[in-house]
Amino acid sequence: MKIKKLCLPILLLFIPTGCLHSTVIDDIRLVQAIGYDYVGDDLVLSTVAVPNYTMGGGESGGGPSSSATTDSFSVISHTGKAIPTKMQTKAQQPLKLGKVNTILFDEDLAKHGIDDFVDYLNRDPVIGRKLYLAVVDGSTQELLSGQYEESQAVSIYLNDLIKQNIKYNLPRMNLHEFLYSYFGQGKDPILPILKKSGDHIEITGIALFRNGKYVGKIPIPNKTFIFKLMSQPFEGGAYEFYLKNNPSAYISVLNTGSKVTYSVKNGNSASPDILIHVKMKAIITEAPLRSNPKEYINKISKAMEKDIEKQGEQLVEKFQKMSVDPLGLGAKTRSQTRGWDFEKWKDHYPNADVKLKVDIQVKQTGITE
Amino acid sequence: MFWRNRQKKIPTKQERAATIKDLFHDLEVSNDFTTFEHKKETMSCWISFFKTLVDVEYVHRDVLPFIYEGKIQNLKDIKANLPVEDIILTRDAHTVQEKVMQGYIVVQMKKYDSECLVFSAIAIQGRQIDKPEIETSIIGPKEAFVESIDANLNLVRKRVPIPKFHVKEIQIGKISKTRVNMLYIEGIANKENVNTVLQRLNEIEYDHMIDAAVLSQMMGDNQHSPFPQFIDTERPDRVAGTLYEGKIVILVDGSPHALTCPTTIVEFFSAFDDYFLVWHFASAFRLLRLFAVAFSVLSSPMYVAVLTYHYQLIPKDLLQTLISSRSMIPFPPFLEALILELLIELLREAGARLPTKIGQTIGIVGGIVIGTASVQAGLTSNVLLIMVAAAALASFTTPNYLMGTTIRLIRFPFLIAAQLWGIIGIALCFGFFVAHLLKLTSLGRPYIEPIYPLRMTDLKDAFIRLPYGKQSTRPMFLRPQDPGRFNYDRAREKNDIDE
Repeated sequence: MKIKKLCLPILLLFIPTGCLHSTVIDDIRLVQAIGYDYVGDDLVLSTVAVPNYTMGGGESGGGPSSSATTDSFSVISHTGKAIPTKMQTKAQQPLKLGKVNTILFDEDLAKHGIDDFVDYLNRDPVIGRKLYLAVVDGSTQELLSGQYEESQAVSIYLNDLIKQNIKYNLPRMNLHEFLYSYFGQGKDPILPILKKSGDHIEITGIALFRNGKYVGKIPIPNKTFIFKLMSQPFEGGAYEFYLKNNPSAYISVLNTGSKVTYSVKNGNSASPDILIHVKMKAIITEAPLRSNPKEYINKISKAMEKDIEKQGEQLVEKFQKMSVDPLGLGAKTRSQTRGWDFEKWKDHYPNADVKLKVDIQVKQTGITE
Repeated sequence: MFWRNRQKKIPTKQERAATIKDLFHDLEVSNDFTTFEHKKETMSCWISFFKTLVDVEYVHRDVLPFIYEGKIQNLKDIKANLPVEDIILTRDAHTVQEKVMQGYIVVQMKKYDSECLVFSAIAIQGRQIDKPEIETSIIGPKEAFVESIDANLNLVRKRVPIPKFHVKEIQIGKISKTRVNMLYIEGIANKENVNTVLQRLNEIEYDHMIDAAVLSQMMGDNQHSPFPQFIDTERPDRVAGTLYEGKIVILVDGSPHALTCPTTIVEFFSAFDDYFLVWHFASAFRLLRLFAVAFSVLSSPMYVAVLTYHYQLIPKDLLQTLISSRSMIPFPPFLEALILELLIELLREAGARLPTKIGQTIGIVGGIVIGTASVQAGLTSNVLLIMVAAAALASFTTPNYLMGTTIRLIRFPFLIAAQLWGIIGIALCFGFFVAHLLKLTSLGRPYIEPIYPLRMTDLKDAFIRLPYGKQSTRPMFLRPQDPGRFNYDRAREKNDIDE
């Protein structure tokens, strides 16, 4: 009797199986990178890079192959946000977006605004939050369909390139961070800028956005290092500078751990006082030899502190003139000010008095010490 | 609805002989039944026995000379003279039948006389006590149970030399009258448990009882459950250990396995070896076994689910390995996995059925020929081959054979669920099993006890085994009459030597 009662629910369980679409991994093509180029008003050239894993494999039925080729498809359409239907017609197997790890915009499109794309990326559940967005100096189609020295697929190359740089040179910039600063009050999004040069791709700087529009850039490398120092604690990254009296002797310093704290006073006044305090531990990796090292190290660190403070304040002044806030000073002020008003802050921000204070502690100068 | 009740009530026949005469008519049909008249001047008597059940040498050396001696006139004289301790003078045909079938000798004054003298001359034939073959251990005792219940009881009694160790004998099997012994330590074992076992044993109505495994299926709480509810063991040391914990042990005559109850699911994954190792290693191996169970059940279903539905979950560095290994394969992942799983099960079954000498060939054929050939032919991917082989290996780490079988077979429902609904299906299937396990009991005690209901004190000997210094109480779920092994506070008191 019990079994008879159980039978019906078990039979019913098999009914909804028809509703599920299977995506067997070798019957689909995984789009791993998408590029969007500006063509004209409402017209977008979308390019997808699809790694072709199926070509490799030896006679033993498919051992992992050492190299993967990339197929790329391009299509001009009005709505480029998802995969256009036109693109599906070019592909042998259905294109799926679940493994996208990089999305590129060319500079023209970024200048016209990427709000529509941001809205789409925010809503689509198959798009992961850890993927990287980037602005390309040049055409994204060219970049995605190019041949590179690295033997991997271009999407993996791109992804590794950005990930590696974020660890050492650039602030954190993935889709999650982008959306957080795009929708959050008192913070503006930033993206890395990529450029194809020969058979390599390189990062040339950080793109500054205001309301989804590309408005300016921070060049690499020293400026981005200072920017990263001011925006988050990190470890790694090198800084190069020279002493005033000797411009030919460059000094190179390696960061082995930095911390940053913000303190805000008079957050609601017309010119808020913001103090950015950076504490950094460093290793001097390269410097001209001197007879009295202790005094010399002191001199270097003092000079470096001054240099970073000066450049950092210049950088913030530049942001204030452009009225972009990539450091999130507004958000920092809000956290330390009662009754903070975003509308008023917009007017106050360019007049804010931002000071940068840097303390450098030289930990060592190498194994010969 | 679909089924008719086919189990009709068949009236059971009365199989006992009514009179001594009927009994002897029945017995004389068998050729190994010996009956002869011993004639002397003063008296004559009939001696009958089964020569296959009786120790013939003993009969000739120690029994017949006493009967042949001059002074004996009747059965009472024999009873008085024979140097045998268990002599019964009876007119009851049932008793005579029972005893004759066990290897007793019957002496009558006349043929088919209703007054019989029966006494024991049982020949003990069977294996010598040997090393354990299933639950082998590197350290620890190396004795295993044999088929004779008396030898088994001897092995246990040696380890529990106290008068409170009680043995209750019950006969099960309407025809076979198999001796079944229930062992427990009075004062430790819970009375309720003892009564439950006794009641269940008494209520079993079946014609025979061949082995302990059969008994465990008959008296289990849920006969339809794939999970065994009694631990069967061939180690007398393990039996003694569980007796001291407050458990009840059942021995069946003719079975080299003892049943211990009540049990919880985690005990099936603890080998008795664990108690001989230092607690760190014992705990590590237990966790390893539990991991092996999870891996063995879930690995190939996860492979099917992820490759069929959830391509997003694959790390980008693994994509190339998986896709290129699958690119030449004509089957969907489910069929691929099913074929390999069936192949492994076939190998295991073939290995179990064949004699050991041919069994080695099976290993070579299965492992090398079929494994590599199926990958080279492009029928299965090498990634899956590795996973399935590892899963099969992992399933063999379960120390209990019955539980190991369960673990190997429950991956098939998981596999089907993974194909139908992906990871949600696996979760669903897992939910079904959890619900079943929650409801399952062993002797009325919860089956997944240290987990639910959560008993913190019992966790000391579940997933990990804490040192003996911490094992001050017996398992709580057994509700032992005497819960303490030693006084924990007194054991921790520091004795100053100088005082």
